Amino acid sequence: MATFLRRTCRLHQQMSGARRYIQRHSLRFVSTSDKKESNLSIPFTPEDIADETKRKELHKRLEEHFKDEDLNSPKNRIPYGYEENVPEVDKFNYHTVWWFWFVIPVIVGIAIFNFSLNDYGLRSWSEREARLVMEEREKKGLPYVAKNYIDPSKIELPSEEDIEAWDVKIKI
Amino acid sequence: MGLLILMALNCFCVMFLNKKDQTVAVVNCFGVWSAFSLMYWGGSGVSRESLSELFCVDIYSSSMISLSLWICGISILVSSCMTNLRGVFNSYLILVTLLCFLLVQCFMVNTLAMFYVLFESTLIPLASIIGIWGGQIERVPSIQYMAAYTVGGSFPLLLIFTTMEVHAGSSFMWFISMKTTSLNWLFWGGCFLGLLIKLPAFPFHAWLPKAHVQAPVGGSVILAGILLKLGGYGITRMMMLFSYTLESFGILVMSFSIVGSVYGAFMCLRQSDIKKLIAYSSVSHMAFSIMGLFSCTEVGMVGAYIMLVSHGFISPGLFVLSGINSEMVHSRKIKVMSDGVRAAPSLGFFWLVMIMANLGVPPCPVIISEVLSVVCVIALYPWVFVLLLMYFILSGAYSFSLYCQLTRTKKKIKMKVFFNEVTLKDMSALYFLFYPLAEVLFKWDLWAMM
Repeated sequence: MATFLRRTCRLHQQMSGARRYIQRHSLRFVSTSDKKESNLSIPFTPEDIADETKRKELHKRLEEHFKDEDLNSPKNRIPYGYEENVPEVDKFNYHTVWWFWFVIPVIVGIAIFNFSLNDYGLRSWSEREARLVMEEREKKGLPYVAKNYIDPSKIELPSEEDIEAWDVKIKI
Repeated sequence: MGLLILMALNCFCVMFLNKKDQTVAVVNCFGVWSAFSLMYWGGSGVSRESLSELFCVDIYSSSMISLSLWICGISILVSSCMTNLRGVFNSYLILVTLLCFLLVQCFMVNTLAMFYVLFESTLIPLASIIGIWGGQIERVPSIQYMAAYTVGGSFPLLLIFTTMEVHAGSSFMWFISMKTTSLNWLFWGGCFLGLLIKLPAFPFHAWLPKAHVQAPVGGSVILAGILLKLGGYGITRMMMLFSYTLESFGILVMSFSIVGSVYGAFMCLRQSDIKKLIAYSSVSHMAFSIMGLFSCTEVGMVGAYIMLVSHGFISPGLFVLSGINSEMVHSRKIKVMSDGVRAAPSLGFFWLVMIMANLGVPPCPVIISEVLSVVCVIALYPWVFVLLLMYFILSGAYSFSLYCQLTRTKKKIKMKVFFNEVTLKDMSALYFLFYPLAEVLFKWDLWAMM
């Protein structure tokens, strides 16, 4: 029994270790992008920088790559990301996306939110309501603003004896 | 209605373009539709343009409609890496456009029965997106989880809407008002379970990390940006129906959500997979929305909606960044992704901005919603502040830990990284997800007008 348990635990440990090893060392994504094999980029690894000889080689490769400083050459073109092969279409798409996603929403949004929202902040409602209340109070002969919202003579408060019988809880 | 007609007409015109031009054309159409949907925003009540026989749109609906159109457009913009992966990319355009069409209708309809049908129908395009373009074989069980949770949880809701149609003759949400004083938790559970699962609320959140991990970048953007908000919107409409008289059930749900926020933050701390981390941070942020919605107060509703809208921009931004970074290094592990940040230091800046926005650093509107939700909860039970304090500490800790791991990890794994993997298109998408937050910040009191 003890041997069986020991063997099972060891097997479980080995399986967990194997699973952790596979998870750590397996690739999650495989890129099929053509950009990986493109000669427009210089690949490097951390060893290329750490080791002095390899760093010098990397410098040489970079100098060779950037020798031609003509910004208009196809090698030095920085694509916008919309079209790899035709620069004009790439630039056009970039500009159209910015037009439809920034210029139009900002202009239309500002126009709508600042000029045409339906009674934003209830301002026109409150002005109408104030005028109606003022008219009503003028007819009754009352001042526009009074200290008491309700006429104190109309309030009926319970007597002290009534309050004593009630269980009043005050929550702070 | 005009928006739906415009969408249909534009899609018809795009069909006649070249296949290569269709992607950018559809993306631009989404921008135009988002700008058009801004007409439906009303400062108080409904606007003249937002009312018709079939649809009626108020501030809650219009904010969700604009968000849907924006997020669906962004998801197509950032999905260029999927052109080389598998299948036909144009079918992705069709699925996302169909999904957006269903979502816009879902947020516009007048009747709860139609809302339920459209709510469930959004599952089909998303499951297709994950199934076709998902990363690994585990996408099949993740779809099963998502479908089981969503459909199973919302089945009682179907029974309730059917009963409503049979007894009341209609489920027209603007006219029906039910006041009930009897405590029947089965009834409340049936009403809200499906919507809480969609949000997702603790302890019904298990499907979300699986779905996010297996979904492609565009799928994660749509799922985090708008599909989770369906639950919040549904809860708002159900609250309208019951005149905010939840009482004990609301307090129970709020208790779960407070624990859920701390749980989500704690789980974020121990994650090594970036997508799972962002998924769990969504769980803890949505907990604040639930607190606000179930507090049955106006302040809570405002806080909940600001969180829903802000999270709808920030979480997709995080997923876009994780997609860019993980495509560079071919791994979702955070420490491995630091190689990508080292190769393109601008990514470090974007990560910092997005992580801070996610954390709720002012002037991001998330801080406003957190303050309002906390105010609602503490007004009921002051001692809850201890748990909320734990949440704020843990959320700061995981955000700081994430940024440090991305930018300061000592290199142990040798990876090949290319400089030209980060395109201006992806940077533009990040900017488009960030700048609308300024509008949310300046007009946050729009949601307080109802």
